[in-house]
Amino acid sequence: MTNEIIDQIPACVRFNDEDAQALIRNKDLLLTLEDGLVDGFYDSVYSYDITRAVFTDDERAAREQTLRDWYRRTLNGPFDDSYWQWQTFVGLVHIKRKVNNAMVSGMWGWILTYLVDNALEKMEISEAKLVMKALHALQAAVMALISESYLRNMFVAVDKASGINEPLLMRLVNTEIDDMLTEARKNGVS
Amino acid sequence: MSKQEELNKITKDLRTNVPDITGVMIASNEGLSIASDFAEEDAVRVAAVSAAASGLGNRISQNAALGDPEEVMVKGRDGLLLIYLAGDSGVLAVRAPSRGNLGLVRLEANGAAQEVRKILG
Repeated sequence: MTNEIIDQIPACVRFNDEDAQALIRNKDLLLTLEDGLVDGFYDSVYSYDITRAVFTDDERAAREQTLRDWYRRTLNGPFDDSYWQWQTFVGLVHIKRKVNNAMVSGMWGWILTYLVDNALEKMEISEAKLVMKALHALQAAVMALISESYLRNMFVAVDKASGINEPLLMRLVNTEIDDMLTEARKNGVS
Repeated sequence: MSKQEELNKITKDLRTNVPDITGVMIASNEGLSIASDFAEEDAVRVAAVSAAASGLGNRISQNAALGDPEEVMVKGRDGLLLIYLAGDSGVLAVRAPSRGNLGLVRLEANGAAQEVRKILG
């Protein structure tokens, strides 16, 4: 599943070795931001009722450690199969934990803003551009894996539970989507 | 005779042999209509929901220890739909009135499902 999802991203914009090297080359600087990133991330999550409802108060330390582990693993590399498979697995965990893709996307935005605000000004412009490109490509790849595995694992679970396989489910969905599109257009949504 | 012609013949024969039957649908297990005499505007949805009901019936049979599924029946005030697994890749659905000769409908539909199973492989 992991490779199938990655293959959907155009090769020319995919996270590549140059991106990996840019992150690893600057890992010492980026690792100094770990505490702030972890604190700020979960301060944001716990300060908003909807995302706070995903977690219990007594698990914050454990969740912070998970984010810490991910950040360190990311900056130390390597970006091998096991790294990307781990991101795919996160999609499965998110289904169970009711962490939806809107929440993930929003918090990815926060991570990028934090890193841009705190790291890039300390770098040469040319290097900062490379790191920014790497972070955006990483975000795209990880978001793709988490969100697509979230969806695909839903399909697998529906099939296992109900016997309704993915092509059949998509046929049922598409039949209804056609009607929904017709209705939306009738109501002036183009 | 091509497979498609054989499936069309099964559909036609069912209607001829059992006048109570008011619709026959042979669909893939992915919900694609293969042979049918349902109205064209209904066929797409009937094929999809028949395959879905078959899949769900299969899971219910497994989870409730009912043995291999033989038939799924949906009974409404104005009629009923009987759905049969036709091998691993297809389903047969027949529509009949609630007060029809259900015994004959079942007998013929079950036999037809076996034929469809052989054709679809």
